[in-house]
Amino acid sequence: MEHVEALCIAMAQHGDAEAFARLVDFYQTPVYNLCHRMLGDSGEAEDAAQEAFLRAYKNILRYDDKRPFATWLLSIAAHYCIDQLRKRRMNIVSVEDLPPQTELPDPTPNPESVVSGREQQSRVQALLNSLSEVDRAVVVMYYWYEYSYEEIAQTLDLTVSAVKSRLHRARRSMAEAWTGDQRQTALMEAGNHGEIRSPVF
Amino acid sequence: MEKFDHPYFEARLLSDAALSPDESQELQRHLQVCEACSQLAIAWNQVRAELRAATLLAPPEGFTQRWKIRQELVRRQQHRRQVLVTLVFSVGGAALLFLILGLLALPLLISPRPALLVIVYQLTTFFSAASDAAEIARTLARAVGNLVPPTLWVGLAVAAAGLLIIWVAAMLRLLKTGRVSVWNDQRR
Repeated sequence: MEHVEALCIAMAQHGDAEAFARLVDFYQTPVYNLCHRMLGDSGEAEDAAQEAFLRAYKNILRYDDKRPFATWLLSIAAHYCIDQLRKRRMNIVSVEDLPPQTELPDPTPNPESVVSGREQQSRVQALLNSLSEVDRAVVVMYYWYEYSYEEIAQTLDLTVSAVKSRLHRARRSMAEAWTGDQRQTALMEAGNHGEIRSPVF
Repeated sequence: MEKFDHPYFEARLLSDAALSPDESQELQRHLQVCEACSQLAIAWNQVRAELRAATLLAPPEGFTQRWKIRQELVRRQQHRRQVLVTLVFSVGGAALLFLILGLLALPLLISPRPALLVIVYQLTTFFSAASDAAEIARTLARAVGNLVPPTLWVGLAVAAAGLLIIWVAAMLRLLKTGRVSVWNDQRR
């Protein structure tokens, strides 16, 4: 694949859009997944992934072949998503205005596993939403792409120590978010039981 | 009183690095007495399990096709923008040129007689020079015609005719095989 990839990159650098389309075909899932995990919405993720590929194609001559193509591509996508999240924050969008959590593609035909999968994805997304833009990108690259600290640092233009510290902070935030969520669920359940019991007493 | 404070154990808890048996025992001892760290450990284990269970999300079918369409739209937009910029610059340049010419022509329109005299003088000079150049060319042609033998003229005429025939044949062949249209398609 590496040889084919290098060939496609070289052809794309000579203006061959079809060759770049093959790269899009190959990297669509990692780029889309990163955008989805960062933005939390399938429509926005699609837009961001498309835009990331367009930017990559536009700047293909700047690509340095000493660096892995995937890292370069994910770096473009991550920076674009970070910008989008910052813009979103600047606009101070209320929770009601946020796009609804749209359906996530799941190849499993079993309805129970579909529901379970969606719930799991929704829980993960809620955990990621508790993080800042850059921390979110660090977590996604560490857990979904198994990037090393050095690779994450290179992709997000950070130092290795900054990556470690952000990862630590993100883990703590996610654990706290999970605890908060559990407490809320427990309170809601207790409230529901109280409503049922009240007519009895 | 513990030997280390919470940040030390938090760092141990939230780290992916393997702990030595001593470090592990120390952490376990702390977790037994510290409720905050114990809760953090439970929460983090759950979160880690969720993160590890999460798979890569794939885009809906036809992503590459949609990218191609979008790329084509962007290309057309860029082309349109380039055309517009070129047009604006051309029209602007032409307008500027006409403005300058208009400003230059303004004195002529006010009093045309001196300018007309200059134009007549320039035209007379030009036609006189052209007549002299034509006379020189005729003299040279006569001299060269006398120097070159008639057989060489015939040879040159035959060679020119041959080259013309080859060129016409090549063009006909190129158009017949459709090479020109294929090349144009590839360029597009």
